[in-house]
Amino acid sequence: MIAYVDSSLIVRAYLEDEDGSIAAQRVLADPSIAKYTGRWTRIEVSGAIVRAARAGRPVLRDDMLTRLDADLRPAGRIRVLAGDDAEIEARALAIARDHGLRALDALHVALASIAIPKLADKGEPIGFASRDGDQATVAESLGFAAV
Amino acid sequence: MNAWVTDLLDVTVDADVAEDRQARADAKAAALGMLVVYDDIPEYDEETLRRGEEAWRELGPEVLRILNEDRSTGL
Repeated sequence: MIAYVDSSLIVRAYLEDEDGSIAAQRVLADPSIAKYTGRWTRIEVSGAIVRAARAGRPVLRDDMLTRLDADLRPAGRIRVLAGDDAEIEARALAIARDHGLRALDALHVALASIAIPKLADKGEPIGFASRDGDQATVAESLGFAAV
Repeated sequence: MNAWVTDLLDVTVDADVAEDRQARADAKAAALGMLVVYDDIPEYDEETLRRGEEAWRELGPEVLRILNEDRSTGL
């Protein structure tokens, strides 16, 4: 399976006791799933890390950013994809207007719907790993299996 | 095309590596020009990664709360 992994799953994979964290860790550790995300993930999660660490936790901030970056390197657990910006924007706009997703969620689904099918072998399932219900529902409507 | 992508394309002709799902998909993504390789991320040692995992265990729930809040407010 080729799967697009949303930030909502990636963050849970770093946690121990949160709802869905064990399942998220299993997805990232599964060698039968090729895992990809978009460039926005690094920006989205980095912003949340910095805000979480604002109360005098600069060391934790830097260590968390480092761990995230390590996973997005070529040898990391998740590869990063990019596509044609205009094509992705147009698809995201259509998704936002059809389903009312927020901008970032629509961009994730748009990139996934454009890029992931190109990486799949003939007949191979494509997946979308998200812990956001609305986003996952839209991805399923576009042919992605829930991961 | 950078060295890592070239190396990746080279190794995927190897029969053993061709069985690896991620490597085959990566080769296809690289050939399509869709694979992003960050030049600003070095290779970290195990101790650095361990500290990162500890930091996530401590402050990660707050990061998740912020992301969930962003989603609930439509940001």
